[in-house]
Amino acid sequence: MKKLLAILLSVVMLLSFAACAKEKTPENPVIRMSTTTSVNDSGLLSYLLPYFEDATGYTVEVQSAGTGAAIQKAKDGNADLILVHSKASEEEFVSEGYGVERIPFMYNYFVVVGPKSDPAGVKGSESAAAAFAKIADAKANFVSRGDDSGTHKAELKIWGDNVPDSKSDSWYISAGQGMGACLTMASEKGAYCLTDKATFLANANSLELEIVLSEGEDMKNTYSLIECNPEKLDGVNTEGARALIEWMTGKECSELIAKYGEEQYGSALFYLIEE
Amino acid sequence: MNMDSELLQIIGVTLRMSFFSTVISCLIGMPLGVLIGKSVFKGKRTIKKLTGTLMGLPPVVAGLIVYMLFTKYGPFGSFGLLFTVEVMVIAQCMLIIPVVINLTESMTEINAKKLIETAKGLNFSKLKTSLLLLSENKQSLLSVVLTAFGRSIAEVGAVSLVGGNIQWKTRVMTTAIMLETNKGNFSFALALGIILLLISFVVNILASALVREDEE
Amino acid sequence: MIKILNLKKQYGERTVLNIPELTVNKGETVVVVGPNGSGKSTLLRILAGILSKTDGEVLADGEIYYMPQQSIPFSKSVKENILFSAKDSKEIEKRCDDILSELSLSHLANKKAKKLSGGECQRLALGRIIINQCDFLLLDEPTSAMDIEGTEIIESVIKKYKQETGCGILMTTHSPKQAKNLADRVIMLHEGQIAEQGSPDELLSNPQTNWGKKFIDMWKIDT
Repeated sequence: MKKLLAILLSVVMLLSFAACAKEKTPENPVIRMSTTTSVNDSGLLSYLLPYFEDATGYTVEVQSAGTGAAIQKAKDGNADLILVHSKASEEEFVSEGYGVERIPFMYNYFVVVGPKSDPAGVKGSESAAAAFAKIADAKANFVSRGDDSGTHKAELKIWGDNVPDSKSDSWYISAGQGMGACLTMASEKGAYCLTDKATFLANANSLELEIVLSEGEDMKNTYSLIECNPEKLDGVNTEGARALIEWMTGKECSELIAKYGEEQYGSALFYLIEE
Repeated sequence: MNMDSELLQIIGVTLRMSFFSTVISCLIGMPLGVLIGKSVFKGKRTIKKLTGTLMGLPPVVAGLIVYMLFTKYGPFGSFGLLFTVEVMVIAQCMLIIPVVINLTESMTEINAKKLIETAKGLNFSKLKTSLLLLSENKQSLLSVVLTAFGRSIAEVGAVSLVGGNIQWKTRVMTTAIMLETNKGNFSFALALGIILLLISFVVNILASALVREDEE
Repeated sequence: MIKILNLKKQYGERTVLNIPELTVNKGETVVVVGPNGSGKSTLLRILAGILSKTDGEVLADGEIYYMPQQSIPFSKSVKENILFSAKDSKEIEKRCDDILSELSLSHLANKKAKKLSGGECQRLALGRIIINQCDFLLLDEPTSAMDIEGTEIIESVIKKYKQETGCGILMTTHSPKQAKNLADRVIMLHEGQIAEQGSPDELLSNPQTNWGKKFIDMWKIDT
């Protein structure tokens, strides 16, 4: 009996020591981040956030949706900060008073992917716009996000005045789905598609596509963090949001981001914005 | 962007898909349901349990199975049916046929036995008996048809996967609602939802009126 | 004729019907009597092809029509019920009208059959059958739901039909009076077996077995 008590006591003491070793948990330990499916699908957040959570005692709840929905959720007061990649929408979010400040902190490139046979001869094009023109000329299948997302807006910008009409141009497929689903569709149909590199690499094994054009200036995709404005929205965890933003724009995180993808894909997937 | 014409087109695709899903599911499921309901055989209870279980098949799983069957290198890939309304109908039938069988079978067990005996006593042919069963149970059969239709028009998981929500081609009301929701257009998505309910309501009323007319 | 040889019906160990031999000739009315559970309905259902037999042979050289104890009226008018049940459409309107009048249903011709009373329903059920040329009729308690007047109507219609068509009739009843009125031959079933057989007079006045005597006595008291 005495031996049992002794063991119990040691266990209890060990546990209390362990508890003390952790940082004092913050008052409001839950931070709600609203972000897009592309960001989530790339795997970056599930790689980064545990570092932040261990160091600070915060828990980050990531909700991902299409860009429009991600922003709307924040406007509805369901997020403490947003992480999106749609400059125009971000600026509107801030100017309407929902966001405190737009902080661009990393970027990556869109790439044009397509079937190995490259029927439109996109490889070697001097820009994405030129590539798109070739695709339109050849009437080669092209899958578009069609959902007002950051990727979709970037795609429309590249088309410029020559956006195809999904009704009359049967080769232009407006899918209205997330990036992963669009890539799968492009693979099925042997179509071209504009995608962020990270999502493509993460899914490349199951796709019959390859990168036909990469890293043009007109394919840069910038990600920003925006803290939700507590003056306009109720229940915002401002302390938590600020802590997360500070960490994500800090040195430790930059190093982590720069390393992400190197082991798995041989190159970094995201680049930091030089201050 | 001409919203009205696109909305009409989406409604058109929705109705076309639901019509075929409902009709095909009933044409296959009802005779099977009647057959099972009126027969007495060894594995009957097992079959009933099977259809009951299949009724609970998650739509997204049915979509996944059909997707894997019709994908480029799948067994039926050569038909090139993926991302078409036809394959959406196939996926929906997979979901709805067990429902139709199960409901018809229960209905048959309750209503049909005595009627079949009377018909046999009058030496009606099998065809005449079947037609009699149908006409005598119009209300119950109608409710089965409407259940099938309701399942079809409200379904989103399977049609999303196998149809791809392609604008002007395979976008239906439910997947359009998902898209608008993802875009953040919550109020518009809600409006689409209300329109969907209205369509369902109208179909229910028309169908009921049709049946009641005959009974007068 | 209908010929039955070694007919057996068993549910597991339990034998509910065991008839080594039974014949119904054309032009003959055989009435089967017996207490509840003696197998009367089972016999008719097997002959009608609705219930399967465990063993034995049933041979018939004509078309058998069967009126169950509870017939389902179709969701149509009374007249339409009869027209619908006719196989032969020759002079069908006239035949139908005649039958309606014989069965005292003419005033109900356009009424929804589902709304008929029990007795009216049974008359309709008979009407649906006799619009056809039947070689054999199997009638399971055809007047169970009727009052005296209705019973008289049915009995006279049955007699007339038999006379006109020369069909064979096998029917069951709970009424000694009816058996006497209609039967050429009476068969008494007891626990699935033929206990007694004979002409109505023979059976009702002079049953051979003890059990038969008991049954006849009780039967007569009840009616």
